[in-house]
Amino acid sequence: MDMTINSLVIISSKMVVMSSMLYLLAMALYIFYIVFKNKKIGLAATIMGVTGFILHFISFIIRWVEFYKITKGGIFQSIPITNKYESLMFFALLLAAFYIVLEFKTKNKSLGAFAFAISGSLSLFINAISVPSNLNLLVPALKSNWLLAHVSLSFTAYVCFTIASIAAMLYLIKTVDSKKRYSYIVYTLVLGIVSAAVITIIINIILGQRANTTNMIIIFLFFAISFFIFFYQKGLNLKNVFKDIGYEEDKIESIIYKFIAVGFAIFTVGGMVFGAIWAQTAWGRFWQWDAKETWTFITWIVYGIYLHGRLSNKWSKEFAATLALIGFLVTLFTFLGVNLLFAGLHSYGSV
Amino acid sequence: MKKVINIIGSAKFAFIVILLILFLSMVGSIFSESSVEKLKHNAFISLIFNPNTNEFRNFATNLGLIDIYTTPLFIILLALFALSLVICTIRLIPYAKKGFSLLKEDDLKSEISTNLTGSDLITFFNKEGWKIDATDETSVVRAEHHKPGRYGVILTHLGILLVLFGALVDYIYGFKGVISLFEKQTVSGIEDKNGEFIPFGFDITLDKFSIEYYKNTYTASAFRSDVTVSKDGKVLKQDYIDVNRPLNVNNINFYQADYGLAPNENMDIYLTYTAGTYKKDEVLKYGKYYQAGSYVIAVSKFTTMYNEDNMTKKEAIPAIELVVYNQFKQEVTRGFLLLKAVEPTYIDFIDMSFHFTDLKGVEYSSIAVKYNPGIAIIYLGGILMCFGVLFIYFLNYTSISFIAENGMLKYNVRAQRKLSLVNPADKFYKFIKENTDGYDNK
Repeated sequence: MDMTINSLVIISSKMVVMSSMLYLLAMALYIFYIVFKNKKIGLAATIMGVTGFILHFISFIIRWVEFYKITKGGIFQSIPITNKYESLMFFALLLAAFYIVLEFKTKNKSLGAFAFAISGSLSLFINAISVPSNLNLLVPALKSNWLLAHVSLSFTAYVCFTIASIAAMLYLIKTVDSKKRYSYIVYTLVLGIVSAAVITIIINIILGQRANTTNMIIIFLFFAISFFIFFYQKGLNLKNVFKDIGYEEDKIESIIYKFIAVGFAIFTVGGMVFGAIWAQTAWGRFWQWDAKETWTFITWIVYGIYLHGRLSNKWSKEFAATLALIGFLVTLFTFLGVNLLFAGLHSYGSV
Repeated sequence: MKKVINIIGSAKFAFIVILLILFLSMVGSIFSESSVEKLKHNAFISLIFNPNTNEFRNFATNLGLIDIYTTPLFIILLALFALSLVICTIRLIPYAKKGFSLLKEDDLKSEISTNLTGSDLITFFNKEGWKIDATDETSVVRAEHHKPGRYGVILTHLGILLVLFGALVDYIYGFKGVISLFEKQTVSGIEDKNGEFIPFGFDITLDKFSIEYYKNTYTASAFRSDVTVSKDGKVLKQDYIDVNRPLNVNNINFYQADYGLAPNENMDIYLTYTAGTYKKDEVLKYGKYYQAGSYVIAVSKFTTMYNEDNMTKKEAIPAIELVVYNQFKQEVTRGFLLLKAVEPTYIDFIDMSFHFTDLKGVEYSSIAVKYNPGIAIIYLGGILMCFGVLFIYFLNYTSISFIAENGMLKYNVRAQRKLSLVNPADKFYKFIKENTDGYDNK
């Protein structure tokens, strides 16, 4: 498969680098804001984040237009979310957008540091470690309007689940005060796994075709265990950092629920049903237990269990937040792990 | 019997079944036909199983780990899940039909002193699209909103059940397979898993297979098969199959799944050669000898070679091995020529150059065939699932019972979901707040 690059695509990639730097700057300002509670710093953080988002959005549109010119397909078939670079960029863009909406709606900046840390570091790392940012020529199977409907909605749901997990992490950091609690073990474990996953992805991309699955698993396990031990030892200190962030615990809990509920509805329609219809149209079967499909199903079930448990009001909020974090681990694996570890019908995204 | 139904319909039972399904799904995603060959070379697995034999594959097969989704255990679990869902859904129907009951004045626990009258509130609710049950201002009035929200869970569950049922119909009565056709080839059926021939009831002939490539690449931008459907020699239909555009004939669907290159005796190999100043275009057949100047040439092999243009991308390019003989059929030289190479290959000691310019008749079209009699049921299930989840999370069935008399408003708010994305009662609270003096102090 050949790739095409032109000056506008290069400009678009450079704009992403700039926006990711703005995101990281915003993250730093949000942290200062949490620590010092200075309104001017808070305003500067928001301006920085929004500017980064606008730049990122413009670069996305440029890429879309350039992709449209090359593929000569429909405008909806040219949305740039067809390879690893584009999908991670799209994810970072949506996460920034959702966070900004959340901040304006709740008038609270507490989650900004988390959201922009993820958006910024993700875009910067992907650019820094030379994942090809060129435009891929679209394979015929992806030339369908379902691309927009299925892929973009799935990513939107992933972003909702990510925000819910950030809130769940915050909830547990704020409420759990003993190392012996199961929820403490889970959230420090998640912090360890996510940190290890980021490091492993970077190493995987640096090694390129020299990376093999066994080595990657060993590297991942090594970092996961190391980070877990570190966070387990030091995790309670985080409580002090977030003790006075302006969010009531019930409010955070409601954010977890609402983002999971919206994400679940979008995931059901876009990820499961639209995906099945597209598969039926393109491949002649609506479901084939391909690795991505299987893990989509697992993700759907995990969040389905969360919503059933939450609606029954029989669970403690601590348990629900813990399950939301476990759901995020599954989501992370569905979004990235499956493409890295398994070949399958959804392997377009592994490029 | 009632006890069994209670057990199967319980949340605990459903939870255990779902956990087992999840576990088997995870296992199934690791062990597949394609992954098992890679897995046997894994450092850990090769410690136990010899990677040069089929030991690991046999082990996984005997345990039923490969294609776990068609094993009796997995199907039984899905059936139990469906059964649990049926019982749960049936139990939900009476509540959904009934909704929140009418209340008596004594049940209205919240009260506020306000100038609002019953008719003010009825006007408000009517304007907001609530359904009013009683208009007699002297008795308790019930206003309801987002009533379809009551059916969200039932619709979603019904959708899942229909999808499972459609899949079962497909599993029992459907068939699938892949046919590979060269141009002008005809098929009249496919072989199923057991090798049994399943006739379509008509013939399908590949008239023409065409591939379009992106400019200056071998990346297909589109490929399609023009076909003729006929029965007993009589043409029924001429149509085409494109990626994302299947062809339906008598409910059997044909999908453009893939294409491939297979060397065959009939393929045309276009070669341009020069010998000194003499230049000629020749169409060669695989394995045949041709006079080329004072030499004889023949194509001895057909393959694909990779043109690695960067670390992550590979491009398969057709290549032929050309053998040059002298007049006594003694080999002079041989080498591979890439299709549409930028420059011709020049061989100095025979002063000839060769350019492999085109290749025809080598592509075959891979067409997936699928007969799924359950697909309409599955689509219906999918639609119900979509509406169901939207109803659950974006509609919140709410009932407000109230009575307003003597400057007092007594009311009771009941919502299907305490924790929800939408709360229709918010507007009610806002309305009484805006129309009641000193509300904030109460």
